[in-house]
Amino acid sequence: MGVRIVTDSTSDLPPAVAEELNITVVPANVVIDDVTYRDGVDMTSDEFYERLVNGPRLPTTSQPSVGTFQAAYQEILGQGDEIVSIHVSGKLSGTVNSAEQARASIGPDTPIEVVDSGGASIALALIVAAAAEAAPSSSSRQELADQVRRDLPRTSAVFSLDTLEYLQKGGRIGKAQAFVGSLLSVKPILTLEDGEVHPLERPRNHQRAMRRLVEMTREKAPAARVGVAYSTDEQWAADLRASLSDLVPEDQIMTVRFGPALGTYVGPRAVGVAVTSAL
Amino acid sequence: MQVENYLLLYIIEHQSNQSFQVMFTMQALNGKQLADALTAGFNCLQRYRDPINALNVYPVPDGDTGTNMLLTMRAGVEKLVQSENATAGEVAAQVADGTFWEARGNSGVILSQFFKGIAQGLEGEEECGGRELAQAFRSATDAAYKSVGNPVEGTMLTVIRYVAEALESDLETSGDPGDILSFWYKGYQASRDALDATPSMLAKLREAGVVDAGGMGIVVILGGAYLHLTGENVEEADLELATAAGQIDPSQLASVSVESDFLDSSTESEWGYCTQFLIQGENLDIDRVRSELAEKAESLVIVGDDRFIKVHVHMEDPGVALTYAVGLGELDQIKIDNMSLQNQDWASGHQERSEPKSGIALVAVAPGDGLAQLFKDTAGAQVVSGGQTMNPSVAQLTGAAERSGAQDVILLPNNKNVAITATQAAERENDSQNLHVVATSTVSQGVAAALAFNAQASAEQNLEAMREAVAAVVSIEVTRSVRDTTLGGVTVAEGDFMGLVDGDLSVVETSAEAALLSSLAGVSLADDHIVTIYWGADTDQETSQELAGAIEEQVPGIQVDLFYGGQPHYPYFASVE
Repeated sequence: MGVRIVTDSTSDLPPAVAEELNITVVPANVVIDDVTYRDGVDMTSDEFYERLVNGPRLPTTSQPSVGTFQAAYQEILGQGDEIVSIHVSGKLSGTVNSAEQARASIGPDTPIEVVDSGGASIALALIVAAAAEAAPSSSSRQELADQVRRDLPRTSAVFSLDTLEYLQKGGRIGKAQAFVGSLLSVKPILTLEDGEVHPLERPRNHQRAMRRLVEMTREKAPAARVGVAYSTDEQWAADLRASLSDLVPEDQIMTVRFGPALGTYVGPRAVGVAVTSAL
Repeated sequence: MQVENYLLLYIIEHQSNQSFQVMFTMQALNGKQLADALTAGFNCLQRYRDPINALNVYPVPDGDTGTNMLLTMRAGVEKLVQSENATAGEVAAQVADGTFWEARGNSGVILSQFFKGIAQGLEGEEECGGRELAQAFRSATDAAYKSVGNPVEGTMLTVIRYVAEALESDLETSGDPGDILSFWYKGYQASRDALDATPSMLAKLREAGVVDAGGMGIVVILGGAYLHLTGENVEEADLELATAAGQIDPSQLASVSVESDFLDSSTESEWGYCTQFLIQGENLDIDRVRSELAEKAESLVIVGDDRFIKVHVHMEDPGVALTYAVGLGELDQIKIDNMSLQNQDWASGHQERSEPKSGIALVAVAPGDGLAQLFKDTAGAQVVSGGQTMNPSVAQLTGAAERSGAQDVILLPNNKNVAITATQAAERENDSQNLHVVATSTVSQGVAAALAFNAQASAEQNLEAMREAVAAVVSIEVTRSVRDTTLGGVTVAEGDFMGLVDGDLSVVETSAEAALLSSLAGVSLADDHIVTIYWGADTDQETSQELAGAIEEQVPGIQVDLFYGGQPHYPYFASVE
């Protein structure tokens, strides 16, 4: 009997990493022109961004259904394992609710702990990967969940967007509303604070934004884990990895692509860096 | 008794033959006499406003020292409560209170601090005799010097200090100030001596062949008061002031133009209709228009020349002014506001705004509509219009801060001449709001600061980030010289375009575009720089785009952003970061 990790597709966890660490990824739903797609399952990222930019309507997203969670949980429980289910910030999505309802629907003493990570995308991916690596040595789901919750403040992320347009239209602009001004072109840098989008700085162009992302990440050194995320420009992720290779070896820096769930809000030409500080 | 003495003196000096000895002297001014003397000083300042404006030594069109001092002092004089019983201390306090809120520009702020010092010196005094006057000028000198970060000699500060020192030394030598008239005269003479000495203390005055404008304002106020005390008619006063360029005749100087925004924001009485319009015609007689409208209206501000006259009056019936003016020429830019209703709106809105304040906000001073829009857009700022030639008052800044409803407000003066007003606004007592200043001296610095502003961060974090952003910007301003002059050894001809880099004259060219390009050339641009150009009201988009193209050609890969600023007098502001 062991402890297994479940997360959702907003973690943007690469399939290879999920497979290697035995992590179950429950897909969120993306709705484009009245057709529902499962995030990371029914549609490639390239297709998605093409539709996002050129499609007549903005895609919308919805959390995985209770039923989807139930099915995923039942399968793991059927193998005799316990579950720590770690998800995207409850302030950005109802995913945590779906997970809780699924747990409750299975039974009163179901061995599942649901954790609100307060993060999304690459930050969530780092948290989930750390949990999965710690799982084999953990004696119970409670112990692992407590450890994950305790370590949450160590992980932070900063994102630079090409435009706030998608965040605004998607209704997730939060406190970054103050950065919406459009007269001067800027590449806003945001973070998630208390699970909400929070504005940080407004560099005047992409180069400066990249430089600031690196500087802000360095302030968190020494780092245990570093990861980068991109929506459409893989080279930018590679540039960030190279710039941050003195924090952790470059081949250990996880790279994820913002999937449709997050891509709907960050839009094209977005990049981000997450870091988990060493103890 | 004092009043009778004064009258006797008056009669003896002016109605009797000159061989009579002055038999009665006046030892001190009571409150009423002091109020009348200060009012006379104000009237004299009004008469000399244009000559003072014309003394601007800096060869850019910011000749508004006279206007700033006048508007500042007008607010003080308007505060005077006509009362036979007011003490000298009370009168001085009334003037100080009024000037504080309407202080505009460096000269206005120093003047308001001067009056604050006078009021402190006369606090609790029934009358103002020689000792009290000396004491008042001492504390006025201290207050005035304290009001500026780096006191510079050869300015109105020196003039105020000379008066204090002359009065103190006279008191020390004689042990007795004697009658107030002759004592006042000693102070007035000392101010004139100081004014004459200003060019020897300040190179830029010497280069321009002028005396200090603010200093002349002080001389004029003291002189006007003195003439009034001796019974002369201040309306026709000629103080026989001179500069190196020649005698100043107050009746010979044309009105300088005042920005319409500035008129909009002038102190206003609170009744009737605020009526503004432009008369366009030929051979207009501005003095006649002024005197004829003065009979019908209040709060009269009239500026212009023989072809354009801008009128700003408060009247119970705006039709009367329009009917009068339409007989003189074409009318344009007519704007009529019902001030009684405005005041009601403000009062009702004000109650809502008096709710507990929270959060943090910006107040930015912007000299053009495009820039105003930019500050609103990027930082949700409350914008006060103003700049080099239209310095906003303390009350305008604090009013904008109040409207923001925020507990912490950061002021961006965006001009060197406004910075001191912002500092003064921030120093006022206020329990419900904390005012901070990021002392931006250019619009470019202001925009950088506004971009660094983050309403989600604390005041301290913002101040740090904004100051850091300001330090990282190089500011360029391009303007046209309004006179032949020499500045820092460089000869500038009227009509030349000057490029100022971080406030210092850097290049002189024959076109605005050349001045901007040469200034940029001196900054050693690199391809990772961002150049932002704010084109002004007198420039057009096409020319600006060509200019941007030229810069991109010179430094391949550089980012050049163009933005409509709408500022007057400056074809271009630019920043390099």
